[in-house]
Amino acid sequence: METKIGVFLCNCGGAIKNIDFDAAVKKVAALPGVTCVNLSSDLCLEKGREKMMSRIREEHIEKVAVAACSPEFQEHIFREVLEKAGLNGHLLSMANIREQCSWAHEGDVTEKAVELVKMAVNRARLLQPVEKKELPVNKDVLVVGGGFSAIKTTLQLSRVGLRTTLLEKETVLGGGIGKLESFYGFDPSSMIRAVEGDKNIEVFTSAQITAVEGEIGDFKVGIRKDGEEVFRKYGAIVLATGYQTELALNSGMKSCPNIVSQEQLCNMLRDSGLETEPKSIGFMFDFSDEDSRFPTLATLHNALEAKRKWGSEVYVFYRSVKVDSEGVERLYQEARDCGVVFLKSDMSPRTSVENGRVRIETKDVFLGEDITLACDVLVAEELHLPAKEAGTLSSLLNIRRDSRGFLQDENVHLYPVGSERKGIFFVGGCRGDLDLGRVLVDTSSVVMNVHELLSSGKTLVDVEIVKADPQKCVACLTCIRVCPHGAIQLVRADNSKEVAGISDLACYACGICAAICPAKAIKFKGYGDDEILAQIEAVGESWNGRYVAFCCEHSAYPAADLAGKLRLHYPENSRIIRVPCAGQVDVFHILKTFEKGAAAVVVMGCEEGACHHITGNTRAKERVKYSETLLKEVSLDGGRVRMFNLSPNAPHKFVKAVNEIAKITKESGR
Amino acid sequence: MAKPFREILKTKSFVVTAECGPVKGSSVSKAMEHIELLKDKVDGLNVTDNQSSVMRYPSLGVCLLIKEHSGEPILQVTCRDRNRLAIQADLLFAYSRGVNNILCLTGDSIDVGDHKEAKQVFDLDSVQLIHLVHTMNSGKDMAGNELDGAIDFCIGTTATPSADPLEPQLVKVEKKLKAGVSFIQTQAVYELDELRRFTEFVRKIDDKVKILGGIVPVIGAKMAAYMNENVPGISIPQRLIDELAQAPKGTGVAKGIEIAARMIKQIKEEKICDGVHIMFIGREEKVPDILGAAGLL
Amino acid sequence: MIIAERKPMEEIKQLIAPYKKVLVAGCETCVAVCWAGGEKEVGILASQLRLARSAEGSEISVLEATVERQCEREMVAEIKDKVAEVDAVISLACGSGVQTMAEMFEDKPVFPGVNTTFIGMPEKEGLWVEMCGACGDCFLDRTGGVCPIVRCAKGLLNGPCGGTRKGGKCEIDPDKDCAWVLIYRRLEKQGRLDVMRKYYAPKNYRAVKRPGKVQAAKA
Repeated sequence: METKIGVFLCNCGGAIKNIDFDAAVKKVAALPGVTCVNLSSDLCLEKGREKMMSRIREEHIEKVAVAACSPEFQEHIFREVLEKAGLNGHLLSMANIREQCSWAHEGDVTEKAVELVKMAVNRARLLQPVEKKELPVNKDVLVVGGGFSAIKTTLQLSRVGLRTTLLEKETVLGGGIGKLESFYGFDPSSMIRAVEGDKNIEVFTSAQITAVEGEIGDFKVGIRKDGEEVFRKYGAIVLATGYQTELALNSGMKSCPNIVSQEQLCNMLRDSGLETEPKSIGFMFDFSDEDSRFPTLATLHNALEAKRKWGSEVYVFYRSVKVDSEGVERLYQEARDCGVVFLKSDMSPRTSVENGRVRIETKDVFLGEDITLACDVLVAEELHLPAKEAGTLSSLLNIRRDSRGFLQDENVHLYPVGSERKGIFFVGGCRGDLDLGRVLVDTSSVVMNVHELLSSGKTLVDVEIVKADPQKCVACLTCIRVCPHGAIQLVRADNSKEVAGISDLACYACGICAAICPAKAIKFKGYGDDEILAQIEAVGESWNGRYVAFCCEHSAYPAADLAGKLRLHYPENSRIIRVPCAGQVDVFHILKTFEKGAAAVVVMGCEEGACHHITGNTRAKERVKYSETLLKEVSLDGGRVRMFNLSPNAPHKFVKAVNEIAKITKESGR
Repeated sequence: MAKPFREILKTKSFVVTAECGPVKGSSVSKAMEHIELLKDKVDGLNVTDNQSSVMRYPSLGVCLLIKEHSGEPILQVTCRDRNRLAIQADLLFAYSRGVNNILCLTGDSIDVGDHKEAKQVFDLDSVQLIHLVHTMNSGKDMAGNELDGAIDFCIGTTATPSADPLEPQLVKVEKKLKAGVSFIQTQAVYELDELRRFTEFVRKIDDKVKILGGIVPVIGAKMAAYMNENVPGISIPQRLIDELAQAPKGTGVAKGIEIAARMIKQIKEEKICDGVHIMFIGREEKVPDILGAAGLL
Repeated sequence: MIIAERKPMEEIKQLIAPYKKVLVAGCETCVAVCWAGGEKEVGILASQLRLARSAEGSEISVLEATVERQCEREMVAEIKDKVAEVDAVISLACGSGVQTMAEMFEDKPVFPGVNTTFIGMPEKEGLWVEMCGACGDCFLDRTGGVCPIVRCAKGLLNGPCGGTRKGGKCEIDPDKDCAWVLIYRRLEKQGRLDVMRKYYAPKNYRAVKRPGKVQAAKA
């Protein structure tokens, strides 16, 4: 029995003028399996939706294709209509005949519109229902660290009713709080007391993480404490492990007693029994480490203190003074008014020790001259480096670090506090961001995110939208190694064979695993090989220069929509297939598309370094390159397979790309 | 008649050996030239065995020529081209014709030569070869059979004092010393402290073996840089490269000879080791100049 | 496991040049895991062959099939109907699979589509390195678990040779580690350098007389 497919077209209140809908309806009705075709002028409005729902029921429609505006706009609304009509919401496929057809091209586009509908119908035929299930999640949270960010986060989590374990590697809590006390003027001991007295907070000191398994809602963490190893379960993990500092000195200067850190100067200022008060003090910052807001604050604060307490001469050597944190500009003004001398240089000053004093030589930018100063004490520039454990934590939690080694990958979609794995967050100095004002905002972000995930004690997941077939899986471990979200593990199937198991909780449905599986064991509902091939087959007998553009739903697809909205016209020969990530497109798909007759195949994804799924666009780029090689082997060259990277708000870049491809397809003869 | 190498090792305080490389072809005229030039100036004359994995006239062939012309040949045998049967058979033949000094080597990889698709044999390695020669010296073959006609080789081997890392190499040197060798000819050294340290290491294990430092003249700064980058076990210090760079154009060979002679003199005066082994393949006719400049003629 | 690599396209095209109907047969064991001959690679090669013929202006019909293990007669038998339809078979399995197919379907030319290269493991995803030489006389106990038969370019038992490059790299390839340096470091970590100092006599290269045969003791 052929699947009953219902097709719903919308002319958008009459706004779509260059499609002959009557002719289109006739052609669509003739497609195999299509049992009813409806034309509406307001499909997304209440009346239109009601009509759609009743038609589905009356005609016993099993799969639905909607040809209207972009799915980016209305897909969820139509999914609800299906649900109301008694169909699973995933049995819907949409044809974008507005933004990417009517609005994108001049003249009559009926033929293309019909083809787009045919693609949607072919895809709809193969769609499978995706069930939703409620899974319990563990509501407890693990916060790793014991400094300001960790304590702040833990206290806030407790206030929203979540139990937290605070895990600190040292014997006492506090971390670098001591440094903050004098600069920001608050009492860390009260924070620590608050934590220790809170019933929702469990404190582990002298403790380390030894193992992390599982996923969001169900992390199993091995903790070594007091020589024993225990296993605890958590729903989410927050890393607040701080950073370390190192004086930016060459080895010759390191042992000099006159060269100190900010902290050491603070101690000197607090020391009532100090033997000799330094008559002149030098400070340095922003030469080797551009992330200098905290050192700036510390310098200004200490400079003022030194002036007030000792009346010392104070010289500050800097490249730039970054005053964009709260209260810093005022402090800078105060320091200048107090007589602190600020000396700007382009390069790090040369330091040496002479006669028990520190000699500093540099070229002052404003004087345009070389200057030399001798100070009793120099507070050297401090480099901010990732904490010692950053590498270990990164391996244990299977998360990436940034190029400097701080936790959190440099991917804009993860900011401010997320990681590429659901349920794992970062806050504070461990991210490399040292501005306290921002850290306070970040702790709120983390608490909001965690609360949203865990507070109800359960979460709704799509069941097995991406699944590894245990019969076909050869346990090659490729998907496990490649999943950017750490969502796949080896599990025991029913017959006791070890196979890949994709977690419904942790999966982001990007499809990178399905694309790379060498045994074609991973099925991705809605975006599998069959669904892709079915759409390609819809493009008629001869392609006449038409080509397929696989457009990622986070970047190129919305860019194409925007191009349509702006009425930026481009050639008609594009057939866009929406994919969840450029990394879901494989060499296999590209070759099959050429086999069917495409004049070119294009993959469009996010800008480099900004892939929503971290590695998707990089993989796509490599596969496109490899496809080129394979095609050259069979005498199909000429740049027919291309990769483009764009942002979702770059419609002109999209149009430029499409015009480039049009040149190629013109010469292709296919 | 040259004095037997075995005896020279025992009695002479500074031993000098050199090397000649056969040509690719059946012509022996060049070999004869080198033999005539060098046989009376050195204590022993090595002949290389398909050096750098390039097919050439066999070492044994030139060794026979040296013997026939009253020189003292040292037969180099690598493990790359022959299996244990072939090697044993060759040694029987060599000895029967009066060739009785052997240098046991592993051999370069096939990849560096001109028959890159050939099968590498390496049925034995250099340590196993040393053991093999001892076995045959005692009158048996490797399978334990009695030999009808014994052999008696003076056994030597190579070592690389400039290897990086050095420790694994020294493990192997120790194995070779324990297997029993009468002389070691090292790979080229340019930093005499390395040679000194190497000799100290060897002496702790075997105080009788004679160590001959390898001398390979470098004739230009570019060649030196190339060797440092591409030739394993070679480490030419910057100061020598600078010295070579400063030599006027066209005097590269002379400079190389000058530096080599200087090193030889220093080795001899400071008694860093027991002698030298001079390798100037392709320029064998210049070896007497080195000997002259080093005061060894 | 067995690692293989697809043969150059030119070679494959030449092998099947005289044929109009071919089957590309994959295997879901070793060659699937090393991305050379699983169902996906079968699909890719089949596409390429069709595109190639089309570019030349001639016809070809390419069937695709994959079996769980191509070196098992029973499993290969499952695709006998597809084999019957074609004039020739390109097998993407290792040499063992190709020969099993050839034996099962003696009347059909069965061509190798991959080069079987070695027994190895993935160093990371997409990169496989040789580990075992199947010499039949394993002595990994003496080398700290590093096999010099295949990981030493010269297969030495008393290594290293004098050709180790700076930093412990191999004479023939500066990107490869010298196996004997690896062995030294491994045994050093275990406090077992005395094992490396022992002399090891020449190997029994006839431990496995080719063609090899292993008979299990009990039925």
